[in-house]
Amino acid sequence: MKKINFVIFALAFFLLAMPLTLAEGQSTTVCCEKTIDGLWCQDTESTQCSTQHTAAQTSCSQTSFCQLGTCVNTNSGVCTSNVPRQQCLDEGGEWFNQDRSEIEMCAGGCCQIGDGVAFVSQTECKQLASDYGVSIQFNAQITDEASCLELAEPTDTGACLYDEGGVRSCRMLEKSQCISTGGNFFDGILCTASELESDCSPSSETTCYNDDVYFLDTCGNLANIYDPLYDPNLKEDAWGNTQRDYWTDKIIDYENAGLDLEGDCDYALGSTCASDRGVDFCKDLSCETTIDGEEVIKNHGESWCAETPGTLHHILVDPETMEYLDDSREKLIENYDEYNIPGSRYVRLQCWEGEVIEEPCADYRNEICKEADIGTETIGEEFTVAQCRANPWRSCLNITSKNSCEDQYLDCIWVEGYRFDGQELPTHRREQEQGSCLPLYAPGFDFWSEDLGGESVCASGNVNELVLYETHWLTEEREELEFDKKLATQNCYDNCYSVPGYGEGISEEELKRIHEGTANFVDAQQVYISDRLGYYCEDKTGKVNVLEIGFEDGGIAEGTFSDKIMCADESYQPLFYTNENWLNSLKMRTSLLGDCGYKNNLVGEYSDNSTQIITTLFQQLTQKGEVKVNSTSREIYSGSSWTGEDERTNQQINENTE
Amino acid sequence: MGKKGQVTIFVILGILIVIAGALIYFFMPGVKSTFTGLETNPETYLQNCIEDDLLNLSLTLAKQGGEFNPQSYYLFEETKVNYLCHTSNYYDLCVVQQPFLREHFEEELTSAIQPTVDSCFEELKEDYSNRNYDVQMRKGDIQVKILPQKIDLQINNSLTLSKGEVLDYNSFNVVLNNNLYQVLAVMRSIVEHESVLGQAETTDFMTLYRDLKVEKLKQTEGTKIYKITDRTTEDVYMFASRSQVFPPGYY
Repeated sequence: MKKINFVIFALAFFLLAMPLTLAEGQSTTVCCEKTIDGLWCQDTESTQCSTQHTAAQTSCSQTSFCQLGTCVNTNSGVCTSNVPRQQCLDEGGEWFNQDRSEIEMCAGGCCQIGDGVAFVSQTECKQLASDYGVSIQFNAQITDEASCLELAEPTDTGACLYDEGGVRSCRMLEKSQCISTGGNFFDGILCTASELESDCSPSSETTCYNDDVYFLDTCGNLANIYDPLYDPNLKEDAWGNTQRDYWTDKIIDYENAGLDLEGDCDYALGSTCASDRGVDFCKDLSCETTIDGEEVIKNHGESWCAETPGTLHHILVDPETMEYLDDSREKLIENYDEYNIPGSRYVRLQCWEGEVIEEPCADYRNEICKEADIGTETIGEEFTVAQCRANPWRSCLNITSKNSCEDQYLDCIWVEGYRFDGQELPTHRREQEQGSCLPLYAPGFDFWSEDLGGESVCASGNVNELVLYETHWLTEEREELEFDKKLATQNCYDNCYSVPGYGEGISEEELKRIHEGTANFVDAQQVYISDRLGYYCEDKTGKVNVLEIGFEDGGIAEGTFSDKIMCADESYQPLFYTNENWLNSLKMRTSLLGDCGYKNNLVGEYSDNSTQIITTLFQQLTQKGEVKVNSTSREIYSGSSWTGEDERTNQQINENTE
Repeated sequence: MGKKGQVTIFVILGILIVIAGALIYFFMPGVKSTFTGLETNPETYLQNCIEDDLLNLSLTLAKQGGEFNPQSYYLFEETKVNYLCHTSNYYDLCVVQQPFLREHFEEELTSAIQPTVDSCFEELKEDYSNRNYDVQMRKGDIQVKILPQKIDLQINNSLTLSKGEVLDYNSFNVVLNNNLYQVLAVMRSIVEHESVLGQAETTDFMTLYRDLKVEKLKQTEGTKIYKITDRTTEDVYMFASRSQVFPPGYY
């Protein structure tokens, strides 16, 4: 029986983390009642506290002097929430340990002062009355600002006629105003009504009022909404009863009147009154922009995601379920190293009154911009809304099964292979549980900082692999294992996928069948796979059986395997079948963890090669597994390629495996 | 008389008219003051003298979040923008730093405009003195009030002008048409949202206040700069807030 040595193992590291130094030492965090730069109630370093105020060796939320409540200015009636007690007192206010909504004097209502309104407390309203020297009306029944602001525009105006010495002047006023100023009020008609015989006549002058274009009469009063059909500059024969009636009755409900008027702008549908060089018109509030290289028009109120570099553009989701409605998810998976790269940031754009407004999402890809179409189903026309959505990437790392990870409502992706707990599960559990759940949107880290930087996150992607080789103790091959790819791949006994070039010349499917015992070896000269029985079968040693098969000329092909491995079965499978698969899995895992490993940033600069390396250490072991000889640790892979020092790179291994 | 003679007479008459006008201008003070355009109304004079400074100060204050010399600020586009709500911690909601924002603005403006008021009154006094008025002035306090659609500067200086008749003024008002009151109300509301919810939705405010453009600019370390632009006047108002911040690498 041949004596077999387990000779050497190689220890391989795959370092993912960016090179960072951990912070040394600790700072003392205290609660400063007031800091030296004037901030109230901050948890910060003790050196930042003002000596004129209190400090405590605890968080501010645990102190009484930084207890937050409602601060009320009893003179002006102003109420502010979340104010520290001492600060409130210093400002001359009265502090309440209650929510603002629970304090009666803070209750808001609608304060009408002349033509204006303000949504304030009653005390504040009285103060305004005193400041203006006028009487006010406070309506406590109106409890929201929008309803209050609507009251600013009086609608129940009518013609208020003044007869002074035979001259009949007219103004459009509310009834109460009219009567209080000694006028005669005529409800529902305009000053230009002929029966009033006022000195006001129709004019072509217009003005913007309530988002619409309105006629003005010669006295400067508002008439009805503008339309050229009712312009008094019309030719005389075009001016008839229709026009006269339009300048008589005040129209209140234009919708029910069934009039299609040029000056009737519609803010909700994207137009409003605007003036340009003295001309009032309904201005289109939509925005021109470029999306995917095409000029498009976005409606007022629409929002969408900006095409910022390094991000996936226009991720379309269902507005209610957030389910992906396009191939964004597939794109993110297939091109994981092109998106969410260091420095990239999502930005939301919005069209508002003809202007595109930018709103950057949170940096470090803590927020992702997603779009939804809420218009097609409701109004029959596309109307996109975009949001900066939180990227809860850490929750992915805690998921340990494929089905849960690939839930359509989660932004996670399952990468087969290594688990974060390092376990290698039995074959029957591997499909669902042998892998890592990673974020679809790699988060960013401030990797330049000493305090944070995601080092621990990146480090969770590190792996160690122990590769075993089996050689005969009489041979000299062991010295060559470190540098001879063919020798290394053939003599590999365990975790062979870590060996550079392992699996070349044969497909992964075929290799898998070999491990399952359902395929034959073919042409060993051209393939780089193990010929050790123990790699395919449990508790076996020695080479795979070799049968000679002849060539047509009767010659013998050396080293040709033609047997199935009868003891191989699918219950004894490696984590990976080829070195390429192993490396690709690691790189994907690294990339998706965050700003880890060898990556390019927004401007195309790559990180240092040392951020992603494989090092090897060869050790010769005795039969008992004790270390006999140590070699020097060597770096064989850095950045995105095998290093030139490794002779195996000269043996048909692809330089750039990306 | 020949034509030449007529022309000569007209020329001489013209010269005489010019000389007479010059004599009147230099030797009759009442006429002189009219010709130079000096206001006889001290209220109008003060309005013209003070309003530009008042406007500039209010714009500076508004752009820097309510402080002329901010101590706790975020440097945004070379402007020191004061924090109105702040927390040093991650995840926590911010603590309101200025509970009475409008009152604070009024105080800041009142202090800042005082030198201009003093200077304008000195000029006014000198001007009237030069016109042989007896000027008695007693300095009082000043107060800026920010009201809907205007900023009202009340000056409680008393002024007595005597020259034949006596003109008494007990106080003066300088009024600036301005939207600061409405903007401050919006700022207060945004700060309320920041301190209670962690952030504010800008569209809500733009829907209510159509003449305002409200932008929320998130900075890398977590600060938000709120920038409010009055679409009518193009005036810009800004403040900083740091609330419910998630650190890089954690979520």
